Amino acid sequence: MMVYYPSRDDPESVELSYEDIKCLDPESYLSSPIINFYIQYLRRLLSPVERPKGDYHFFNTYFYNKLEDAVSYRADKACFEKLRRWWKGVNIFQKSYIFIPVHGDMHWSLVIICIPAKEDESGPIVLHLDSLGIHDSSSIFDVIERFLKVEWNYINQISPRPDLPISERIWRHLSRRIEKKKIKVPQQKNEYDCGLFVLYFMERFIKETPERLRKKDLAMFDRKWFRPEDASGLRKRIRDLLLEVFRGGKIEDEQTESTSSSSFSEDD
Amino acid sequence: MSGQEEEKKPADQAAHINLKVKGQDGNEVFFRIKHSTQLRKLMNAYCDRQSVDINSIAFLFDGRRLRGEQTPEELEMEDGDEIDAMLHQTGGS
Repeated sequence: MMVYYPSRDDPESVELSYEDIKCLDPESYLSSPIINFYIQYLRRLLSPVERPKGDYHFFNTYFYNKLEDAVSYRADKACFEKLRRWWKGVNIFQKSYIFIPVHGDMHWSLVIICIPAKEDESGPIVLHLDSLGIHDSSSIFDVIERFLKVEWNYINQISPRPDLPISERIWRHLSRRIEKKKIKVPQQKNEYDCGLFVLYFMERFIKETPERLRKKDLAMFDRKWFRPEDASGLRKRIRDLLLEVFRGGKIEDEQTESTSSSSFSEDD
Repeated sequence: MSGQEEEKKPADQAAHINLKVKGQDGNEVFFRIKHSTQLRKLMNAYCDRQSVDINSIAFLFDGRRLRGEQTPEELEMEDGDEIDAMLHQTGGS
């Protein structure tokens, strides 16, 4: 049996089989279906009611590796053009925050691109959060920086230029105004929870950051941002959520005013 | 490695569409199917050919997960469009 979250017809629908829950067993490594499920869960909690102006974009776990190829020096232009269909209709520079999970070497980490408040007169700030420090931040920053530069070129060709939350002065030299920060974050004390940390980073970040980042907000991050056990505790929470989805129940947060609910159906 | 799959009838070109399935290793497999054919057929054929378990792969079109019962018609696919075959990722440390 397969279930679809949030629903079968949702364009961002995540397909899950009962087998997928196994990776939430104690000490198991998290797999992409589960990560993509919880990302969709977080996305749905951000109902317009709750965060009227916060504007988020979530890429799935498959995106980063595609991006890496598309912006590599070997890739031709058509490659990036094709990839742009992944965020068709979305101007990423209008978003407040863009989340990109990174997978490599059996490890998960997280990139968050912030487009700060206009008054801050700052270019995009790229954050890298890694609960073990395994991924090479500088090569990740390279990829993200190239992504932003190429995309910036595309947006610049649109006329009239779309309304942007970035001041003209910054926008004109955007490619030189991209800031990159490797963020100090709580570290996992085991060798299996990195996927949970990535999801918990997202959850906490969404809860604690304002509509648009200001540089001073970066002070909230340090090794003691939260207790590592809190991130590890997500294992049970996600498992419970999933079991509920498989039972065909609703798992929407009670604060959320939802019009549709999770649905499930038999696949073959 | 590439090859033609499925019905190869020259007649009624318009009813058919050429699709490319791209693996993570860059390996491309070409398929020619009807606009109205469920993509499950293509997914199964791809997995058979690559000898991979269909449950270990996500097929994505424009970054979105394909479901077996969807058709090229429904997804407004165009000739030459590309589908990504991505292995499920896993990580802990």
